[in-house]
Amino acid sequence: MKTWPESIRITAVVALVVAAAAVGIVGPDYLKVVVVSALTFGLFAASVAISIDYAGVLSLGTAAYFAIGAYATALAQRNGWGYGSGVLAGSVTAGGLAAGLGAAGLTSRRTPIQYALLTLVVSLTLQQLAISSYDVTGGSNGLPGITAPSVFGTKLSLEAEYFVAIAVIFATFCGLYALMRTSFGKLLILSRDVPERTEALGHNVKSLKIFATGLNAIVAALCGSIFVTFNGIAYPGMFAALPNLLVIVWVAVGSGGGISGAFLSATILNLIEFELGSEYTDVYRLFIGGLLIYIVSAATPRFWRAATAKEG
Amino acid sequence: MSDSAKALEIRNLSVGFGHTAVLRHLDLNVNAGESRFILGPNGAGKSTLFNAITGLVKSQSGSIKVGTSRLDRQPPHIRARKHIGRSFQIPQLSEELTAGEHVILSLASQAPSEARAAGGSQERRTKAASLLEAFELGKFLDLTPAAMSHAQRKLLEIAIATSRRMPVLLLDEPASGLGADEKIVLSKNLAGRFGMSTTLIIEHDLEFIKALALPVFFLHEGKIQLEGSFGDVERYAKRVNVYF
Repeated sequence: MKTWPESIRITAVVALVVAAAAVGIVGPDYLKVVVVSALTFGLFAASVAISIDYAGVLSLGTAAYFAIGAYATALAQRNGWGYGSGVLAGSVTAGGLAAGLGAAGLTSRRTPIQYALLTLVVSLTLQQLAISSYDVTGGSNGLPGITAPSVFGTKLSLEAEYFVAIAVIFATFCGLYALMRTSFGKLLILSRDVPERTEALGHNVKSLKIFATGLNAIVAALCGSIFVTFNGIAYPGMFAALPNLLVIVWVAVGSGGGISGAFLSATILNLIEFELGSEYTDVYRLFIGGLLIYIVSAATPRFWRAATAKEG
Repeated sequence: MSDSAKALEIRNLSVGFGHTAVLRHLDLNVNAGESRFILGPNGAGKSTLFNAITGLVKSQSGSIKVGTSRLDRQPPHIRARKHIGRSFQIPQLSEELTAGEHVILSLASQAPSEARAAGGSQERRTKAASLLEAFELGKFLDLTPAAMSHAQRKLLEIAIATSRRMPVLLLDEPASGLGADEKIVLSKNLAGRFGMSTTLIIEHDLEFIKALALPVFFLHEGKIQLEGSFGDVERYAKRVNVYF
């Protein structure tokens, strides 16, 4: 699968953000929710690309981090703790979980596929926990009725919330993009391709991979926190296998294009889904299925290396 | 001799895989700043010795000291960060990073004081360019290994390993796969560096070994059997009917 040159990808990201700003000014409310949700998934995929494309760590459970952010924000609002404490709690919990899973699973004693399955099983277990803990998490119904955050006691309007969300998403994307262009990003690539060389230069490969998955988890949780206030609900299905696999599809489609490729792929695929999915659900699912088959047979070696890379 | 070079002292080192002993109570001493070849037949345990020194394989017994530091109690990345530079027999390069980025990462991967001495990012790039130039790889500064021949990749591997000023330098078959011209480039660069680190070189290339004329350790059956000149080792190997 060939990717666009980086200059075109970055231009496309900027164009998407400008288009999103235009929607904020002239678009109807439902479109604002659609656009901000698609961009949220774009940032989520970009964070997963740090794990897969840069650190060479394939996780099948990253939706859990997104869901943790959503649930933490919803619970914080339900209990009157404020939006910031929800975002913080979600990020810390997701980052801590990723670090724990990395410490347990990213060792030379485990294969990459063991780690990938471990993360999926943990996500499915958390889904069951969310269903079973009815009093806290609302069980199968989840936590509905989540609204926009308040600032100094005043609830943000949809327009204000929309522009703040777009700004946060774009700023976070720029931060991740800049980070991956530093020596740290190059070091992640080195650790993915030649771990023995990376150790021979004095770096702990396992720590680098854990850091990358932790960063992925923190940003994913932030995405969950943004998503829940626009869509109004955190629900157990966020931990399910489908969202965990979908994000892999998004990253694989943009694979080779770094975080900008993943961002564009996820955003555009979600905009298509929102457009087609409501009226042509079956057609859209067949499209995703076909895309998955294509990816399995044609994704860039860079992507599949993550499934076979040596651990630290 | 540079201040950074430190003596390497290995005592009673044993390494095995399952029931197979590869290194058996090996003793080895190299004074600070000295350079030695390690010769021996295939399967003698030469690369395993390097892997034990760097921590890539665990030793079953014995001690490894660089200066006054016990290496065998440190994790591999700490040994590499503080004490050891190393090249691999097969070049360990990322196909996505340029030759310059490989060397710059190496320059930035030193103990904080050494990394500071390597300067900021622009200074590191200048240093990387001049190092690559010394290995006649200057035109690959901004190119990935895909543009390089096997011999050029091998030289890049050595350039990365020698870019950091470490107390001990281990080179695993640096001349293998190199043509005559590249061997001259390699010899020139290594000769200019001897004394800065305590250096061990595993090698099979007799021409290269004779050209550098360094003292030799002869490793066979998991032990250092002889220490001397190449001529001494050659005579000994003939006597015991071992080829290397």
